[in-house]
Amino acid sequence: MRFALALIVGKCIAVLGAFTNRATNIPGEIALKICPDLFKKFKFKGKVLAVTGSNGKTSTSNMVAHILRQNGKTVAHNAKGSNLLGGIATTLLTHSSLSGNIPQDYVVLEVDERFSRLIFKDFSPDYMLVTNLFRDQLTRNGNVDVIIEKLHEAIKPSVKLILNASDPISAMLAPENERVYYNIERTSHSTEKSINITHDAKVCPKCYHKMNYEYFHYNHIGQFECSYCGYKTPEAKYMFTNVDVENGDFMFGEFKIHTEYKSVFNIFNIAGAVSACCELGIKPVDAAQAASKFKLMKERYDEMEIGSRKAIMILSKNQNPVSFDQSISHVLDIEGDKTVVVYVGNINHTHNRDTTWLYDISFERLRDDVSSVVCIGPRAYDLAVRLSLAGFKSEQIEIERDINKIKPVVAKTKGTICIMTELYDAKSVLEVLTR
Amino acid sequence: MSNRTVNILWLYDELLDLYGDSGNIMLLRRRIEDMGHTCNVKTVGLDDEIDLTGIDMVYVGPGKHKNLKAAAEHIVKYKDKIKKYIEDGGIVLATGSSQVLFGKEYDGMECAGIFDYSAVETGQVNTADIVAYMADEPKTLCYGFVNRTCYLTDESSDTPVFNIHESTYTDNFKTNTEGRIHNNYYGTWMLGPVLVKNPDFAKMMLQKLLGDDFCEYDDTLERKALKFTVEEFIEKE
Repeated sequence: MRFALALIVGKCIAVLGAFTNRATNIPGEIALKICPDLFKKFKFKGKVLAVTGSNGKTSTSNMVAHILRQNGKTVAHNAKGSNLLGGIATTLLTHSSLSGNIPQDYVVLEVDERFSRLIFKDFSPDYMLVTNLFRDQLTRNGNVDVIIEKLHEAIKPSVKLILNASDPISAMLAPENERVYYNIERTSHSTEKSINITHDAKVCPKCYHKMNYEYFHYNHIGQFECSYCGYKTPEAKYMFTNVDVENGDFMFGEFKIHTEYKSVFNIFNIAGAVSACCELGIKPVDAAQAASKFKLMKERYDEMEIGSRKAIMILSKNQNPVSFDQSISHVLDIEGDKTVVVYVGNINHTHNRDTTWLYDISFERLRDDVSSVVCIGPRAYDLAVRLSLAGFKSEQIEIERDINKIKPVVAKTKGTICIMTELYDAKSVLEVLTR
Repeated sequence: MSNRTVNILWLYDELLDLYGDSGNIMLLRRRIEDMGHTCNVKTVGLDDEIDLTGIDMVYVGPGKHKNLKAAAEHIVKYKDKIKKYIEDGGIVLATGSSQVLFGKEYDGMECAGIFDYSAVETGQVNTADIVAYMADEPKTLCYGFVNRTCYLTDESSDTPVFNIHESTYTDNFKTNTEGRIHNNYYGTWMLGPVLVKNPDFAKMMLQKLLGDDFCEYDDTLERKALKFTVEEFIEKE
């Protein structure tokens, strides 16, 4: 009875909420209050895939759903990244019949890695794709080892893992579980030394001795081997080759894949999504074709005009250095003069004044490439100090703590305006600049 | 003033690398080089020996639980050398959980044993903003961020590094003091780039490190960044 009531109430709130665009979490949260063991009651017709990891899980899970749908499959999916308990409950209850049957061919759930053990307490996915594991929001998540412990609680013995062979950390998750690996061969962007400060596997995650890398794709993602314990890049079932990063072209076996978002990070997301779909029964040729038609959400990357200047918005997650490092890589690919705009506030959720995480972002890479950086927000001076230590000249650094006063500051700068900031802050910046 | 070479030993730079620790080395290198000196940073991992010959300063940052245990297993082999270095007045800056390595024991692992405390791992993440006066001159206000899962059996040193301002009193530090000074050993729970965030603390360290070879420098930007942070805790006077 409680289950039926929870479904009815949840569905009603979801319908009402659809008009206010607030329907992603609340229906599920309320349904879980009415029926705390809600997740136990659903009956899935199709296979359930969970997508988790530190970075790239929203884009990757959206791509999985896109590939499946392009191939005529029906999919239940939390597309908007509502990946906590409420969001997952909303997704399931809105797709469920009143008797709890979820009829779609597949259920694709983007899952927050920290909440995974709570989400999968009462039910389990058949497959779990883990994109990567990095340091991320340490005040909220703790360190990578804490996340691994939580994932180990979430991963039941029956779950088949789809793992990134180039990530020494996530590649060793739940070693007893059945698994397949995907990987990308060396590209023209690979480097023999890590070009990033954030490198979470400088030492082997198994024995803690120095880890050796033949090359790095980015941060600690690369071809690795520990000379002390022998842990090395596992063999991949799904291999992506002939990567032409500049043109966004690469091969999956004999099939070509093209992407408009030309970064190795994004190609790894595509590789994960395509591999997962193959495990779910899609033919490689069909997965490759559908992946080429995928478009990233505008909330992640957007281009626009501000006055007579070109502007781009690249989602960069606070306290997530790898996300900023990826944005920096993208800025470096833009030709001509450019100005980077970064908002630094207090820590999300906890509001601590800590700016330690700025020292894990490789701002040094931008130093000789951008005309200036505009530092905005309550911690703007901390960013300015960081840039100064990275060797930026004082004339390259503009500081304005008050977001409402940035328009004349940005007007003094030149070139493409690259807004490298958290989604919420980016909207505020755009609002002021386009006023 | 003469040009000199400053040798910094960064202990377990790759093993204990929680976040932002490289900022301290960045700052020291920048200041030392701007004064016209040379800064050598030597690093030590589990496969290396700890050699303190000619070392002017040791820096060690916080790490994850298992990594700290691996570091403890390594450092204990050099406990006599480290004790002599500290008793002879060698400079050490240990931030965050790296302080456990200088106590007697951490989670069942014997450590360097310089201090009588042991360390207890709770597994619970505890975070705090700390605004505090330097115990050393010029006794100015500093800011630090604490993010820890372990505690020392004796947290209340008679010679703290910082005296916490009432605006940030916390159960994390029951005596309202923070850190431990012993000769030129400085251990603090503030983590990350504590020298960058606190220009007076950095200056004090550099003066110790360089003695007569220290030169004044412009740290206006750091001071502004600190002022805006501290002001958010303490009403403007």
